[in-house]
Amino acid sequence: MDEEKALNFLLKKADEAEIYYSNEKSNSVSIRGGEIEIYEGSNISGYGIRIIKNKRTGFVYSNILDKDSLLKAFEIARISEKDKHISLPERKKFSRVKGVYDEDISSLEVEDVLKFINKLMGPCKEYNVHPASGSINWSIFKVRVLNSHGINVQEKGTVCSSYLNTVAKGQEVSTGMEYTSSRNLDLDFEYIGETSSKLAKESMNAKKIGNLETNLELKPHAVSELIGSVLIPSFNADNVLRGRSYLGDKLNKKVFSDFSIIDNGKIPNGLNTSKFDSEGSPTHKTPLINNGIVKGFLYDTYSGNKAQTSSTGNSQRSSYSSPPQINSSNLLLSGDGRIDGDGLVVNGLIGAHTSNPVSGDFSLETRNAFYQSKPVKKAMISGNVYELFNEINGFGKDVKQTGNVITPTIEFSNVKIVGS
Amino acid sequence: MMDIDKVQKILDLPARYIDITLQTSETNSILLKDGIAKDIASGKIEGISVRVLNRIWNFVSTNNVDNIFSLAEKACRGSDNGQEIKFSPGMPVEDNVKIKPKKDPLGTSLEEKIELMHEAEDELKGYKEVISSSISYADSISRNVYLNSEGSEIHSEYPRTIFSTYVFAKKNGKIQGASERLGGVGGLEHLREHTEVSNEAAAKAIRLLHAGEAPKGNHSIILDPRLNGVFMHEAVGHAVEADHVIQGESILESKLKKKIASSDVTLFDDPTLKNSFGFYHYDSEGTKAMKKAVIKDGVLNTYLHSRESASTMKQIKTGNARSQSFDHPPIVRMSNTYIEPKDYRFNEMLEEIDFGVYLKGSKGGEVDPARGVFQFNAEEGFLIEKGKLTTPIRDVSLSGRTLEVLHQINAVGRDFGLHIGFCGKGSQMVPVGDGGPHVRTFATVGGTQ
Repeated sequence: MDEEKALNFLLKKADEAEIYYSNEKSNSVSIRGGEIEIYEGSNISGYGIRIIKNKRTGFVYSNILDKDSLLKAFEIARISEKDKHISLPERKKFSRVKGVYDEDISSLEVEDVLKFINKLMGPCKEYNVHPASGSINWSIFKVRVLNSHGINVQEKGTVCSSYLNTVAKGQEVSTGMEYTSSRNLDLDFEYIGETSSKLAKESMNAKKIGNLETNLELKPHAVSELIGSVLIPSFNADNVLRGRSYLGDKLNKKVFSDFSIIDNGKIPNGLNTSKFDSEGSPTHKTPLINNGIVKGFLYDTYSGNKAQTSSTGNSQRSSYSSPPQINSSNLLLSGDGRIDGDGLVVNGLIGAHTSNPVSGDFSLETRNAFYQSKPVKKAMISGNVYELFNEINGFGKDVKQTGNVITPTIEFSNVKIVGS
Repeated sequence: MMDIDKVQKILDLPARYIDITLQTSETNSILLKDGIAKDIASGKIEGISVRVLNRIWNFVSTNNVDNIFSLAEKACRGSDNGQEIKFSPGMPVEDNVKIKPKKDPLGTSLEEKIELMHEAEDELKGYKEVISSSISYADSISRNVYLNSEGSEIHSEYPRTIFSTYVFAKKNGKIQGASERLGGVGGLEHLREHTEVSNEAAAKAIRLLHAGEAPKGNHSIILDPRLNGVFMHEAVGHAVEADHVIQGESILESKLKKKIASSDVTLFDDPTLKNSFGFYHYDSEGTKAMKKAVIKDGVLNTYLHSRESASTMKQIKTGNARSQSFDHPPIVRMSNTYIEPKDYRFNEMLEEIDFGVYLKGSKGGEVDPARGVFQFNAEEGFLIEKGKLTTPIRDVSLSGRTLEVLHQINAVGRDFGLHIGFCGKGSQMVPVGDGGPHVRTFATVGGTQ
């Protein structure tokens, strides 16, 4: 049956009902060891169905809207436990968003992409490094949310992303990597290739620096890796309401140096920009930190009800088969102060996901680190993310979108480095 | 299930080689947040992929079967780009393999599963420091048909069950979290210790509240079976994946048959271990699973191969091509990774250390296989002073150079443990097992001190 019919079928017995539909056509060309290895193309679509009956909810996913799947949602709702805060969002006004769909991406052909692959690998020769692995991926997707409160929204979008890993061989091996994504076909493939090659080349003949305490410059990729794992989870209302967030009791308190983070689901060309979130609530611009003061948290409909506030439009699904969850949309970091530039410069982190998201403690190996412009053989940085962001020295001008984080380089003072 | 006869026609399309994977998977998951089971999800996906080799690979997938014929035709048109991929012919395999769970998740009601979770949650009520918990349960059954143009037809069916407890404890304004999990290929028979894992997670979170900071620097260390398994997986396993070797991204390139570790080390990749999380009969391109020593008495014995990588390197295929699901192409992956136990008792390892660190559990890790640099985090640790375990420590990370740490292994325990995990590579997650005995070596310990 079609989506409208399925919704009506559910509403015969359900108090509230929702149908989420997504279709994604994704393509990629991958290289391995400098040669083209594989083309991939997929076309995946499906439904996530949610119903609420007597404040109990049931979630079912399926490729097709068949009666069995719809009835299964009721079977689950009968067993699932009651919670008075459960509800689906009401219909609200949506404002337009820009730069989410690019005709140039949707009409891309493999032959075009092969030219980009040449651009991507081109700089390797010049730097005498080996293009170990890399890819260009492009996808076109459609999302629709339909619910019993009259929400009926749909949107199409495009994303193009690319990465290149390079290896330079001297007395020891050094590696470089660069990755980036965009909603438009504006990726500079040559820049990606050059950045990766340059990093590998410049990281050759690295030396040990011993243990020291110094300024630390985290480049945009490193900032993104670090905060995604340890800082951002503490703004998730689910963690806040369950007492698991370090920042939960610090609303309107000054916790950090003068800097700001805004979650903005509407920013033009943002990787997670959309008109509505995965429950059909309008997306928002939500200040999380303003001049070092904690200003807000990220809510979906359920947590908004529970906290007696409203959704910030931060419900997301990784696929139609996953129930919606709270997540950041696009995070914009900004602040004042100049970079001194005499400390350790870190381009990436290894294993940021192993940090402690509750206490904020981290201890991480670095990738492509430089000290006083010379490559560093081994540098482990450690500390606490809440203390680190209270020791900000300054911000660079090199603003970059990396994953869903848009940030310049940030410099911190007095960070402990294990480099022996 | 889709009509196999209809799909089989795809194999007649003109190409050097074609294989097809049909998959139906059903999952059920329950999340008990702070004692309330309000998040229950269930569903099924049916999908198909076709992988075509002409000059290079072309892989197409969809969960709308009607689309597959036109996608497959397009994939067969081929391309003149790239260097021709090497791929040696194989013998056809016909088989039908199935793992039967002892306690079938499909035959167990949702109520009974929720009851198990409440039992685990009830255990937490005895700890006054525990402020929040997430207990999760998930089962899945995946039914697969693998066909290829060499005449193979393999039917397989795998149930998997997983249960985890994540506990948060708070004292004096400090919060710590700790988790434990159970599971494997099979059904609810894996969950017999569900209350024990709850207690262990709570005890661990509370220990972390009182734990001190780790001493930074190079130390003598003992790794417990779980962390040893993660170390071997991250630092060695990824570097012996032949695709990394071919790409020039492995520290173990040109090290075959050379000594890369202390003679005490024999490391296995073993998908044949029954009930383990990394178990399979055939890999995702129809090669029979086999147990092999990756390192034998300290000498690098083999890389892990797909058919393509084995053909490229003119070596024997090892059955390590795995895919996350029908919509991903198979790539070289590990199965269960563990080193063979030797003769040391835990106490004997301790006694010989004047000052060092005992690291337990894993919060995951990452490795740069080209440089042979690894980083991972233990869940908790203890100082070792004058041969005895003393102060508990937290947020202990470990990093170092793979080859140095392997050569410096100077004691291998007689015990054994295998744990469940998920390994991510190239945007695909696959279930794996990591484990082994306790081992002793040297590495850089990091901490917040």
